[in-house]
Amino acid sequence: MLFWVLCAVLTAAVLYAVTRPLSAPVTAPADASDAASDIAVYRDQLKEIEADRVRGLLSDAEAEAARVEISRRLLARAEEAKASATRDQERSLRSARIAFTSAAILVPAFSLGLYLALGSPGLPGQPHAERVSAPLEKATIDDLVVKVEERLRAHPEDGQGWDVIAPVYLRQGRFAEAAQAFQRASRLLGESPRRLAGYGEATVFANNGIVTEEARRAFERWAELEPDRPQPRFWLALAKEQDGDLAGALEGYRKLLADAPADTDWRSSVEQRIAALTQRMSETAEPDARGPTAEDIAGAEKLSPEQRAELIESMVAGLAQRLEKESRDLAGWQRLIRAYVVLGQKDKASDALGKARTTFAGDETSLAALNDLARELGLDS
Amino acid sequence: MIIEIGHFALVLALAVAVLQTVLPAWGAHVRDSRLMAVGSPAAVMQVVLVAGAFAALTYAYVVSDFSVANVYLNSHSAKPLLYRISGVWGNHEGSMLLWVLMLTAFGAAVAVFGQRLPQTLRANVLAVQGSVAVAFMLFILLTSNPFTRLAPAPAEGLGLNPILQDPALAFHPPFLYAGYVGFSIAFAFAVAALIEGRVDAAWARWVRPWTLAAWMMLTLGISMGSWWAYYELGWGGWWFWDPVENASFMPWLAGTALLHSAVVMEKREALKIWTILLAILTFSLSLMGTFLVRSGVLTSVHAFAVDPARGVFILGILVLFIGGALALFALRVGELRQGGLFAPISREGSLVLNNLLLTTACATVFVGTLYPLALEAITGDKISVGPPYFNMTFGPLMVPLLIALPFGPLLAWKRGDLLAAAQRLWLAALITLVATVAVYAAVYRGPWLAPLGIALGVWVMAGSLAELASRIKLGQAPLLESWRRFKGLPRSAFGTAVAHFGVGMMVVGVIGTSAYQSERILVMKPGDQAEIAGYTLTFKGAAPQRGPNYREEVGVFEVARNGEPVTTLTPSKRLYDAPPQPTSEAGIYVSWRGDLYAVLGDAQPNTPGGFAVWLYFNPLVRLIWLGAVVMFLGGLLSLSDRRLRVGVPRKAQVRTSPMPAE
Repeated sequence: MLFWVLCAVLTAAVLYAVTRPLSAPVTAPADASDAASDIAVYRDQLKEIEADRVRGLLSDAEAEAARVEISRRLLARAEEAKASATRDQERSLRSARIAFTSAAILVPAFSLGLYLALGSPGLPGQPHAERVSAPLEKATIDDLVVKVEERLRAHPEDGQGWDVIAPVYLRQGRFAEAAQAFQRASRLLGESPRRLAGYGEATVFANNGIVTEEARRAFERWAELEPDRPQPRFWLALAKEQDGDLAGALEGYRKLLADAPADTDWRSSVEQRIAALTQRMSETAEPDARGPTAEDIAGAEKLSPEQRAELIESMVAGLAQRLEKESRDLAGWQRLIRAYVVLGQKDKASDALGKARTTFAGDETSLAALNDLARELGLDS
Repeated sequence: MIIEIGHFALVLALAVAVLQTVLPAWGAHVRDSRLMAVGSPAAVMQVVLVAGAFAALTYAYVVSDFSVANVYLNSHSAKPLLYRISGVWGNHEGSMLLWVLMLTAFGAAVAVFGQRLPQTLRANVLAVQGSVAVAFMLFILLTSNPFTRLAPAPAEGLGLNPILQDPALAFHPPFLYAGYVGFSIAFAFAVAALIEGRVDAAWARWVRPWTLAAWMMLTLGISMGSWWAYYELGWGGWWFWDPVENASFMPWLAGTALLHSAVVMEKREALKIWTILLAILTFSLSLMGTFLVRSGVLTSVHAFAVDPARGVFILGILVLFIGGALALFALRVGELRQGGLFAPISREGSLVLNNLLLTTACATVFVGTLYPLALEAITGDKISVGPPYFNMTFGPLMVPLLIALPFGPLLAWKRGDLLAAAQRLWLAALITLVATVAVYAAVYRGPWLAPLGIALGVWVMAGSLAELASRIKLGQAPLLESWRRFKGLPRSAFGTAVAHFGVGMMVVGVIGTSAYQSERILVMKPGDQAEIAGYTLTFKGAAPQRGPNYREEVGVFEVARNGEPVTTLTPSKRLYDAPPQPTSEAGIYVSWRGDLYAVLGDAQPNTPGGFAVWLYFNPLVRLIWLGAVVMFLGGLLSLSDRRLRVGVPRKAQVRTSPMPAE
């Protein structure tokens, strides 16, 4: 729309400038002014001869000869210029009106028609730089990605290439590749908030929204580099929330909110997060993965034995659920196995031990820790 | 959106050009000053719109917007900024847009600077300019639209031809086009005069400076192209009588003739009809140059037939404008008043001789360029007309021109005295004689005519200085008086002398390098030595190297003269990445004596480590381009002199009475 407005304004401005003389008053009769211009030239030449004579470039005799010649031309021209009648006003006005009307109709009509036949009014410009970092049409970006990938295959040391392609992967939803590309770019060109952010976020998305340990570390470094940025702090709070550190998460969210300018658009989403979190905490539906806090225990003490058993059950179930997703948490497994034994569910404990062992297969220290635990609890017998 | 605005601006410019053609012409016909006055704002608006379109295309190149087909085909995002910008005119569509931009800029200049021109003359000139603009904008929009878009847009461009990625070539086309198109002013004035059936006094006052400006641009443009060919193409030569070169050289020859006849016309109101014809011919040759280069005719007549749309369109424009103008000339020439009379031996007479020789020379180039094309089109035979033809025809025509050149400025207007002029040239003649003997003594081997050729150049240089000396009465008046006269000399007088001096320099350079070039083609292994023109070159070997967008094999030559190390030359063979195209970079050592020029050829499989090597020594070759620059400066001096030019006639009785030498 803006485009057509601009075209219309351009056309109008040009038409105005071009046709303005048509409405101006007629100045001098054309013939007379032609003769006057010629006569002016001859007069200038006469002046020039005089100037040259004074400067000594011409002798008096030479100047005289030239002057005679030019005067002769001047007289001839003056004679020629019999002031023939100029065009009468009425006819001139009529012509001007015809000229104006036809210009005002034909110029826009012609321009619009020819442009519509040749141009592509709807097609936006696609500067190269913008195409690399902005959302793009699928078809063209694939070409681009293929080309860059080709280059990166030949030159894996090209940090710029990784830097350019990483956000493209991210936007395309190829999170794992995006994370890898951001990581390589960081390694080759040095860490930067943009790369850390890209790496962290890509890792989170690749893990279906779980803030993994690597992502958390990236966000921590990002927060160090840019302490004022809300994003890394948000991610870190979310990590705490996912780890079950609800109080820590809540604190993180609250601090974030306190530092946030009043008019930011993400304010409301953090507030929602806080609301959901406080509700969950008051319900204590979600068990704390790191073990119950002092408040939990204090609360639990007030409960009836049945209620307490129920609470513990739910906490353990929550931990088990979390470990399903986030399996490489050795302390979590140890806590879960111990909890099952305490609850008297030995088969579930053995089951969890088996799962933990397969998870940490190849990791000698973790396996040793698990073996120690099994011996202590007498599970392997 | 910027690109589409640019496209729309170009279409709108076409509409305005139509207005500029129709309304002022109608106004001039019925003598209506309102209608005539439309021409000026229309011309100004046109250049604004075309500049907008050009800026939009440049923007697309700078940001590498590959949704524009033209950018996709001719640019690459990895190219340096300078070559992304010069890429705008490094291709057919963009260069035509530049052509039209220049055309409209010249039109606007007439509108802005020509306020004092007679009303009808200005209206007619602008109408003619407008009609040329209409034709070329239609050509661009219908056959060569640079704003054609691609959807979806390709990810990366195809890149500019690597041999065009060169600073000299980035600026060669703009100068060349400014020259070509500048002649359109002379053309428009000529046609306007024919339409009116009258040549105003202001006519020549206008035509001379504009022709001069165009001629200067063309001089610089051609010499830049020649310089580029010299150091980039690796052939060791600087002019090949190639049809593309001839296409720009013909308007230059005709333009040089026009320049001189316009002087006669401005100063003496003589040669009116001839000047008008020459103005038409010069611009026609410019148009023909555009046609030859842009239609594909030159690569082969058959290439033209494969994609005829463009060629036929330009051919149509050619027929319309040249045919139309010549027809108008034939129709109206009888109505033009004859100008002043003059004796055969006079300044006017000498300029007529200049015109005759230049136009004949132009005709020989014309025949040599077009005859093979015509023959191929008619009989299918392919013949090649090369340097021998031009050396046999063009060369001999230049000899009388150069011999006569120093006499011209020394002759008086209307009636000249050849003997008096010759007397004033005795010193120049002496210098020339000494130079001839010196050259014969220095290079006793070689073509026996060459020293005479060099003498010719020296004669022209000395003659142009002699003209200045005689004007300030050097040696005839006290030194102080001469100095006073020197200071009082108009810049136009210096302009003439300087430009003619440049011609002399160029002649010396051309003859020197053509006659005394030494050339060696040999296979060199690392450690081999070769001697050329007193230099000893030691080949140290060749090594591969990687540039920003090319790989190259660089040869290293250590150059010594009389045992003293002089320099190290590093000619290379490059292979560009995109598009993969080999180029050769010559290694050139510049000195006043001449250029040492080394080209690395292919590796020789039979000789381990051996490479084919071309070595040239081009004596005095720099004088060719220096001469062109001096000619340009001479033009600039004359152009900066805004005075009216008045030619003072010599009265008849003066000849009979004895008279002191001026």
